[in-house]
Amino acid sequence: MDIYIKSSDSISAQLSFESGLPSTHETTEEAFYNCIKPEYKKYISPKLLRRMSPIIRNGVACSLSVLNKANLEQPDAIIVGTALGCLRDTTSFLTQLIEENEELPNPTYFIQSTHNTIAGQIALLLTCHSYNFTFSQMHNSFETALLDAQMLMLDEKANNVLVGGVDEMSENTFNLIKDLDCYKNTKPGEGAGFFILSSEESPVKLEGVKIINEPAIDFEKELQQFGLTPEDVDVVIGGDNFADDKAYTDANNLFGNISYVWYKPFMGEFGTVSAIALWMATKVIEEKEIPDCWIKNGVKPDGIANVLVINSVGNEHSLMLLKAK
Amino acid sequence: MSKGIVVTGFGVICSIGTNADECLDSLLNKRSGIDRIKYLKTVHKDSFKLGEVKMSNQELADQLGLPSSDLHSRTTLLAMVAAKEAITMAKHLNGVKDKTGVVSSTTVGGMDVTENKYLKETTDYSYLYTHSCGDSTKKVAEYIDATTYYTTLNTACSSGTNALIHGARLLKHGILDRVVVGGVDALTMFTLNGFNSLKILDTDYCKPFDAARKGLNLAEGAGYVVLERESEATKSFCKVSGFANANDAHHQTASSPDGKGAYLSMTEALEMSELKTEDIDYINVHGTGTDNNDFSEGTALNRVFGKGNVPSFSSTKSYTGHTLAGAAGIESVFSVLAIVNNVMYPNLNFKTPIEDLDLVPLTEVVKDKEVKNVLSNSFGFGGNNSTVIFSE
Repeated sequence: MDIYIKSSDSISAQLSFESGLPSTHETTEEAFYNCIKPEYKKYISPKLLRRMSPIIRNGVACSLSVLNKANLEQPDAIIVGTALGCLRDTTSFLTQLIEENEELPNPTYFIQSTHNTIAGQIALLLTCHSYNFTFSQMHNSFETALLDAQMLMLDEKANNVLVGGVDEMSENTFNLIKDLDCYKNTKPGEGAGFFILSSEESPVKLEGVKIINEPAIDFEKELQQFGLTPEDVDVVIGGDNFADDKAYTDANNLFGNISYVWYKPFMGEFGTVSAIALWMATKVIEEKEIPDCWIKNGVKPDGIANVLVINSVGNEHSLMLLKAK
Repeated sequence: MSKGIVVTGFGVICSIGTNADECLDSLLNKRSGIDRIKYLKTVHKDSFKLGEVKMSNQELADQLGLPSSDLHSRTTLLAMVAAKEAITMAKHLNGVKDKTGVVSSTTVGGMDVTENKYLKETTDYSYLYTHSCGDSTKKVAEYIDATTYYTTLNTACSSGTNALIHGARLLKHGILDRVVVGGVDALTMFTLNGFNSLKILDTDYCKPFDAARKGLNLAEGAGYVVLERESEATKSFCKVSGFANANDAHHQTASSPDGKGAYLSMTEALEMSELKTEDIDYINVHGTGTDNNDFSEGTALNRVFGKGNVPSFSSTKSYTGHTLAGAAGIESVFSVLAIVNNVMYPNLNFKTPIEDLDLVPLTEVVKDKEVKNVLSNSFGFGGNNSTVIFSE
């Protein structure tokens, strides 16, 4: 069975929601990126909205948007990846519990602190009784969710799967994490990227997702599994955090004179930002062009068939490959 | 699709034992591990009983041969003990495999470290590294040399079975040749106060499926089974014959009165196993001992098997307490042990059936019957319902 991306959307620090790949982007003067908040009321009732923390709002709004675009009332599965889960509710509960010396803290914070609150809320809103998974493996949280979705569909247990990645960043969290190694030279951020994977043919085909826990990626070997050579790749979307980010120099050299897209300096760095990269890859294929502001090396693509998304953190890497149908 | 997946190892640590043999001995001798609080730092020390693992972090680190317990959360240490037991068994049985990985699960990850350092006047921010759910899984994978692929499920208390489901798919699709699946959670002030704020903790010993049940006993532990493809496993303990995950879609924390999600996960797992309801010899129920769970699960059991025809069942949480993401992994190990040893475990503290359900769990150890097929339920917040069936 072939798997297609029937619809996609993202909520990010740029004007991405319900939009194509923006033709301009803004960098922030702040220490970290907050996402641009959509009109949540279009998707979520004011009563529910008041109770939802930002991560739940973004996860739910983005999910409902892709379901809407795909003209789908119920997915056959809901699979979410989140690196750090519902941090605001977690820290609210923890703070109250410590400051008030364990005097009955607010149960709502506890209830909403669980990582699977997002996927659970989506199921609740849709009255969707199907398969409902949440993965949390740091920067591979979205990738493992995507792999699960792919395997579920290949096992013919599902024809339309809602899959996405979402994380949130607050002032509080930023102050804690800013000195961690993985955020050195980066601006942390937040956002959501959601997709409807479908067995129904559409312009963007998901070729595969691969997690590689090795010191380096052997691109030739990995691409061979999809019957491709590095020359067949038309666009690479890399996870560069700054101009001469070492983790991506190898890839840049190997793929040579093709369009190299970067996004983290404009979206921020976070565990599931690769979901936003996959959304960008989807748009690149759908729109058959890339606004100049996203192309790091200034090379315009000459026909777009294969788009490769690369993400690397330390000895953990992931590849996602999309193909134009 | 699970056809051809077998269990080739298992490992467990919880309040009733630090390995599978000790746990089985406790189960067969009706020895509960729920007791007054000894290790967890909390103001509720005298108010609640917990299922603590009776070892300090340093004792766990010593057993694991680690130089110091400081680098790891208690969650990671517990996971390492159980995962090591499981993979050692699998290697002994079928040798070393090329592509080996870990699919673990945890609800609060390294919270046990975080809550002791957060908001404190300290310049030690090491807890930020151990906080995420994925950190414990990565550390375990590195410790047991199973790093080809690792990930973590967090679907609250059903997580461990969902880890098994993802792991079985990884084998089927050739991504791994051997996978350690299950879950872990350490006791924390965070979860104790969380469940207390929901008012679902029993201050006495929990009484699953009893009319007078008052809530759960929170606990800690880890349980893992090792899965391999049957075609490449020379030896194995039993098969994974069916599994399913479904959503109750009723409420963020409470289960529906008609047990819709539980009904769906059990019927879909049975369908995959191609077994008839009468083929199930024993059910290890989720059975937390809360008013809501046991009624909902009981209603679902009656719907699936028919009132009066529900197979022998018990909640081993009456021994271990509720270990959250650890529960499904630990109960998977108990289910495998039931098949391997032809035993069924009693449900402690049971006196009176719940009105209208007429469900009476086993109250004594059963040793004289063949146990071929065991169904194990695990349910969590977010309406998350999972069922796995192990078969001889």
